[in-house]
This record gives sequence, C-alpha cells and structure tokens, in this order.
Amino acid sequence: LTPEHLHALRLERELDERNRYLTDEEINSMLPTEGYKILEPPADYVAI
Amino acid sequence: MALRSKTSRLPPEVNRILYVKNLPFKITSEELYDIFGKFGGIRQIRLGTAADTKGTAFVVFDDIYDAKMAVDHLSGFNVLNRYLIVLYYQ
Repeated sequence: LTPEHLHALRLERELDERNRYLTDEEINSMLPTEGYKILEPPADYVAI
Repeated sequence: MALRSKTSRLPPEVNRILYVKNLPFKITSEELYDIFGKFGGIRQIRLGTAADTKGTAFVVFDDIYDAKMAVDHLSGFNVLNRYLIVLYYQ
C-alpha cells in the first residue's frame, strides 16, 4: 500500500462519513422545526 | 457534471445543508426544487413560514459535492429580482 493509496483511502472513508445517508430524525435534530415546514417535492421530481 | 476529484479534501465548513436567505416570500416548492435540483439530488427542503423565518430555507443535498456546486453557483442568483444568499449551515 503506497502512502498515496493510504491517503486516498482515508479521504474516501472521511468522505463517506460526511456523505452518509441522513435519516429524517437526524435532520430533525439538526434543523429547527419551529417556524419551518418541510416542502413536498413536486410530483414529477426525480433526483438526478 | 463537473469532474469530482476524490482526492482533493473538502474544507471543513463544506457540508450538505445549505441555509438560504433573501428568498421571495411566495416562492413555491417547484421553484425551489427547480433552482437547487439542477445541482444534484435533494434530500429535503425546509421553508420558513413564520414571521421571523419567512424568506429563508434549509436545503439538504444528498451529496456534499452537489451542495458545494450549488453554493459556488447560486450565491447572488437573481430570483424575482432578489439576490439569493446561500450559506453552509453550521
């Protein structure tokens, strides 16, 4: 394992951590619920 | 899509939740999903409805690079002659 490879692996792991799926509860715990409403995505919305 | 170089480390303040200010009060879900949706998959949008939160919103992206693209491109974006302010939510 070359140092570069190790570095890339560590970044990958860190990215996965920062990019892992957020559950509704987690989002609710992070964001205010007071005074805000969760919008319904438009019917034809598809995540690109 | 811009080339994403996986090896470049993202600055710590970059994250997937964006705090948007200076939105027109009567902006709709379709408009918000249209403006932000073209940068990537959106996990959730939370729009301010109270007196002190109107005109602001939280936009949660699925992918951190998409959120970064949105911030880089949308700051100062003109919506109904209002300039959007897009920040990373800390």
